[in-house]
Amino acid sequence: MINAKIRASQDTYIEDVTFSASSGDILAITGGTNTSRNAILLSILGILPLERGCVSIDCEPVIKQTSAFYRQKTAFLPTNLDFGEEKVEDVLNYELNLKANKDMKYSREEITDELRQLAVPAEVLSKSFKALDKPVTQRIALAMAGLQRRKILILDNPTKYQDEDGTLSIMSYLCSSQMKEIAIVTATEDPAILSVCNKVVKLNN
Amino acid sequence: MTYYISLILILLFLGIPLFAAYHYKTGMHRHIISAFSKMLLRLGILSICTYYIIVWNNIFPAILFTILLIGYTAITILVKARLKMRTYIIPISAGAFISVAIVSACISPLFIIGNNNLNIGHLLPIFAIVASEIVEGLSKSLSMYYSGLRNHNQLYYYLLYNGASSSEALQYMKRQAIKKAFVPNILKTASLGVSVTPVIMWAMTMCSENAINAFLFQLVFTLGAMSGTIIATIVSIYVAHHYIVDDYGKIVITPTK
Repeated sequence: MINAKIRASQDTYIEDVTFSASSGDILAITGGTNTSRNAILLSILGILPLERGCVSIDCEPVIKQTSAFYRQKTAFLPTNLDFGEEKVEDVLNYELNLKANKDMKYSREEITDELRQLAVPAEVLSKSFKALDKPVTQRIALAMAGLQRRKILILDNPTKYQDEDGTLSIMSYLCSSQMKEIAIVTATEDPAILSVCNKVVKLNN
Repeated sequence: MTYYISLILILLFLGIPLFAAYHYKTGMHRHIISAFSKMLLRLGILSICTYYIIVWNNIFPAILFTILLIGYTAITILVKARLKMRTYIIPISAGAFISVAIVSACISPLFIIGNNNLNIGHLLPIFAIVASEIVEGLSKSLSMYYSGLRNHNQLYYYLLYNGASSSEALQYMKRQAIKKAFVPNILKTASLGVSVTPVIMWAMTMCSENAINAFLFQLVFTLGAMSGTIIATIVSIYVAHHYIVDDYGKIVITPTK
């Protein structure tokens, strides 16, 4: 992202945001408000257009016409994860059967292993999201995002609902060997997550 | 003449429930009168149109009447599903029109083969029955679909942000809508003959039609109604797609009136 100006809300603009991340990086966007940090993440995904500046992935600009293509190269963990009555395995199937994931093959073991890394038991697969609490839901969604093995992983407040153990499992997941080839961009205020980041972009309040 | 005698008798008989409503102070008088007036108006218009279409025996008034009937069906669905008239009249009319056309085309041979004195008027009941049968299922499924998109859209955005096209991200809602469209038809099918009267079968039997033919007619209409509802749901959702998602994939629906 170079010299970006983003309209985060009706009367809030974020200006002159510049950063880059390559594989193996864990970049944190911190400071500002939740809305402004979220706006930056949505701009990377091409969902929120920039007022000025540019976003590029692999040196190609992410604009309205190309954003859908680049979203197939990124995985995203949003903050709001109210999936209602949908079962975990159904949502997982929706996601893993997307055209963007058609070249990937997933075994049951891979899925349960990914969940286990985030301290989530395999039994949750048959449960509905409504029956799960927020910390578990957030870790499941992170595992689903990680399973897609995309080049870029974008996380919005990944520890917002976590207690100490949950945060530790997420930190360990982000630093695991499978993330070495992935660029991670996270919006966070959590000092624990900031401690594992090698790049930090601080927004003005 | 015998019809008028029956009508007078049933109107006298109607006095009992009206008296009961008055005696027990149910406060239902306005509702009863309103329902009765609506029924009279609709049946009156319907029977006048049918009368003239049979008398004229011309395809053009029949087509015009069918289009009006489908338009009325679409408006009823919009009102029941609490959707915005200007935005959704085209997708819902398209769904209703295509499903009525397909199902009616499948049912028509029963009339053509079974009735040598066929005229245009005989096709009208098919359109009318199929159109009225799809109202409940389609309105419930579309109501669920659009309120789901408005209030429970986090899974949509999750999938969209993870590389799904807007059409792919809507699949789960489409699945729910189709399930919802099936429900009234399954219930009706399962209780047909017990708590739901097989009107067509009994009416045909009363008109001295062979019981087996009457049963087959009922079967065809029941299955036709089910498939018509599902077809209408799929077509309406498909046509409405570009009204509900903008260029960035954001849901822009304003479904309530």
